[in-house]
Amino acid sequence: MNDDSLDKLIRDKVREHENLYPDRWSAPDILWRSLNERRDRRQAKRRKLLWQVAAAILIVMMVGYTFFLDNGPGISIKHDLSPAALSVKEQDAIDFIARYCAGKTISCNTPDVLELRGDLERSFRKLEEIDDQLKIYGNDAVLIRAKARIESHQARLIKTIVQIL
Amino acid sequence: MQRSGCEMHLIIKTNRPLDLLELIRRCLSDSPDAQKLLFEKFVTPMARLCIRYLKDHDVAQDVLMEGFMKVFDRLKHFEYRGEHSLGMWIRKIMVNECLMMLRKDRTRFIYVTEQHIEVNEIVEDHIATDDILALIDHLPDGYRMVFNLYAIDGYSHKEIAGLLDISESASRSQLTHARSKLKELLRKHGWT
Repeated sequence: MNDDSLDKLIRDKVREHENLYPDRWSAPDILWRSLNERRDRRQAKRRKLLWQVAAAILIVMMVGYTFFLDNGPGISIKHDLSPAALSVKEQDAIDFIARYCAGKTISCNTPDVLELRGDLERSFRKLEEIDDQLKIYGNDAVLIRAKARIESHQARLIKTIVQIL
Repeated sequence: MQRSGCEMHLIIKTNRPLDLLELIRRCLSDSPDAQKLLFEKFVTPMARLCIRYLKDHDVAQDVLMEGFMKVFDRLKHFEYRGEHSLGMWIRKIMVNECLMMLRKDRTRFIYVTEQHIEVNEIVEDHIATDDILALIDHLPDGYRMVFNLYAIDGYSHKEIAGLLDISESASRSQLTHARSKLKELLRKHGWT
């Protein structure tokens, strides 16, 4: 017997057999009923899942809206993307410090002033980094807050140095 | 009691025969009567198909119901291409369901080598359909799967390789082993 005739023999027998409902099985009516019960259960499950998803979306929206209200309606965070903009007074103070310390005066080289000037320089570098990140990520709230903190720290540093000098 | 699938008539309340397209249309409009008719029309061959792949009657019954649920869920995507297209489409869904079940239960889906095969004696000396089916049942799962897919359900080796996640050559080799085992069994019982 070659392969094709073996396949054909078995295929024909199987097809012939496919018209006979398996006698060990429950009647088709019973199967149909249980199929419908299963479908109903699944649909109920799907409905439940849909409600859960809808509830989750609603919660997220409510949390988002509350957060939005906390920031004040119509208020959005904006910032100046140009490198650290100092006030005229602060710029004058920085110029004064630079001129004064160019003469290598003793008061400029005290450990306190040196440390404060070091801090001031670091704060400028930090501001530049934040400005670069803002250019990449846009108006990111965390970056804007960090920039504001550094700018106020810078103002305090300048004031202290000028007072000491 | 054995019922014949051919005896089913596509008649809905109006008592006039219903063609397949009309039946599909009614199923799609969620008519429970139409869905029941569709189920009754295909339940017998599909039950046999599931048994052929899974052997275990309880598992086969479960898979058959899952398969019909998929059929009703996906009927809107079915493209009618002639009288037999619906049957072929349902058959594909059932085969996939059977394979999924076998994949879930990995222990049943093992490719064995020739020396591991143990075949029980088949007592009858005449070649009846039941005997042929018993022969197929005696094949190891891997052989039986490939033989069912290729020789009976008409899948190509490429398709089988995709379905069973094996290479085409592995599919060919499983088929060759299955055929030689079947021939050996047929010879053993004096049927060839």
